[in-house]
Amino acid sequence: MRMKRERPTDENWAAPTTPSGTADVLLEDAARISTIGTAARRLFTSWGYDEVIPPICERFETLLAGGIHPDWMIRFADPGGDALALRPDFTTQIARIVATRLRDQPKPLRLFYIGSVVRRPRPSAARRAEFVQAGIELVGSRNATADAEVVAVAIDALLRLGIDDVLIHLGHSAFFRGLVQSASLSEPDAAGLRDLLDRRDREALARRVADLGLDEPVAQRILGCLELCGGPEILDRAGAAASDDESANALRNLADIFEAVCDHGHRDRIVIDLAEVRGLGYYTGLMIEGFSRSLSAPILEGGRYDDLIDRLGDSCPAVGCALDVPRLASILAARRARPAPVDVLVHYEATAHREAIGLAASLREEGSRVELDVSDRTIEETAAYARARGIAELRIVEAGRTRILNVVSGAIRGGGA
Amino acid sequence: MKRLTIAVPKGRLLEPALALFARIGLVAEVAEKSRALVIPSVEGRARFLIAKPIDVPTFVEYGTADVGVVGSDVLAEDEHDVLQPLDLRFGACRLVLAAPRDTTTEPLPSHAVHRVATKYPRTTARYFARLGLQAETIRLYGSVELAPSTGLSSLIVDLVQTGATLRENGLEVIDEIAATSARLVVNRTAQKIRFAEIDALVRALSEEVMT
Repeated sequence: MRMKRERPTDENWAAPTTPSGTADVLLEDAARISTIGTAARRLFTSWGYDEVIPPICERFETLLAGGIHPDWMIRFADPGGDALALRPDFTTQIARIVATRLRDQPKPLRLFYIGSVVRRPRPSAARRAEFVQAGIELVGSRNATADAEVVAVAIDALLRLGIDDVLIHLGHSAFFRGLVQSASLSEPDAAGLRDLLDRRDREALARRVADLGLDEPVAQRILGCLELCGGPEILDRAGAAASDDESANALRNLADIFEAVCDHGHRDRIVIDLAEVRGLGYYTGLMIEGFSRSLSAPILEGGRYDDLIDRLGDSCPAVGCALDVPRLASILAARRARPAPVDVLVHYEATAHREAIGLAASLREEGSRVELDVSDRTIEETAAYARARGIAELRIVEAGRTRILNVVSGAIRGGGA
Repeated sequence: MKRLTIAVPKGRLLEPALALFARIGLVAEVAEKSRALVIPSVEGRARFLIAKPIDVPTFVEYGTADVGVVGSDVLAEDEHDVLQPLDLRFGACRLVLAAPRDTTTEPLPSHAVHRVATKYPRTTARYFARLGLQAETIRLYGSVELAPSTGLSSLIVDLVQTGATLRENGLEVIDEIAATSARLVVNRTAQKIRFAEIDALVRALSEEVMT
């Protein structure tokens, strides 16, 4: 790489930039994002999902009621002084929609969305504030088959994009909750244990468990969570440990979901992960996290949220997940998946404008990407421009004849009408 | 599969960190007087990145390194989203509040705004907030002990190993804020997609530091 640009002579001048955490997504990067959007839309539609387009901002109180942490949100006031926030997440909006305008629709309801979410970037690292999600919500079923469908649709979407080194971690938010409930811990004590488990800090967790004076079997079960990540045998191992009702039910539910996902043919892509206790505040059951071996960050997140719609006015179970579109795009970019360049540039003599338009239209009809020249450049200059843009073919339309210039080799064909 | 990448901090923790990894079979191939910042392990199973201590959690958070070694003082100061599975027990220090010797007999007045020089402004602000005291923190990047004698601040928050530097500069410890030591940090996603490998590494290191 080298710096092509001269520095401005005025030391106080700086080029305008986008706000921190945001970026312009341009040209082939933008093409990748919209290719993913298009593929996701087609796939979600083929599974029977219908699109919804909620507004970019939402009442702050709705998002709070949804259980979203206020630190996540970029807040502002409308002209009347009411608190609003840019949506940090689609699921709460969809829960509101389902609880209100779509409440009389027959269930189950299958909805999908594609759009930006905006979150307050954390101070430690220059993190993105805005990114595109493409997600689905399956509303109105408590069945494990619904959870499994959401997982299967997500995997299908990733495979469709050519991302096949996929690992899907399935956890369950009620498993750890059941363990701490059986130990009758206070909310702060339970939260403290969850934080230490979240950091995978074995020693500090052991110390805290000892300090809390928990019974030996309970202590062992909580410490044992650190180990509960792997193949389906994890379900049996965790099953031996869970004696209380909520954890045992969670495991049975996760086993049912796992079986149903296997029926979709995805057994080898699933990791059972009961060590994961993070996740959005509104999850009540299954928690989904997806990874590609080629990226050090999750590419897919989701879960079951049976209480969320209730908090916004109508009782209804639901499960969903969202693909992280820019991260998928970065995987495709690393594989050098480039959008197709423009195929043909049509250059013409001033008097042949109408013929040139006709030629471009018929080439487009045949499926080519075609640019029509709008400059006053000479043929040589136009060929140089085509070369710089990676356009392989130049058509030169003159009165009564069209020539084809192969921009790469310089060969010219044609000449007749 | 890709080699495991381990970020280790330059400075006083470097030697004990490399020695610890060597004991579990990951021997860094350090050439004499080499200034290389990336060094392979002897059998090529891993590679080490030599980074400034404060940058280690950044390399790990972004996944450039899968695991890293860093002081708990750095982890407490910058909130990084990394796993912290193990206290490595070496490099033990104390993060302390200190003042000039002749002022330490009086309790800290609660009505005053205390000027505190430190390399740890966030940790310091948190500490004073917990005590219900008002503090103005002044960020320095080195020689923090200089601040009280030159009148820049009345207090300092700094990392001490033996306390000799404090004494030589006429300072005395008022309070210990935290006991610090080297910690193992792990990238969240690496822990998921290379679970067996990283779990084995953590267990091996854990056995080493416990004995």
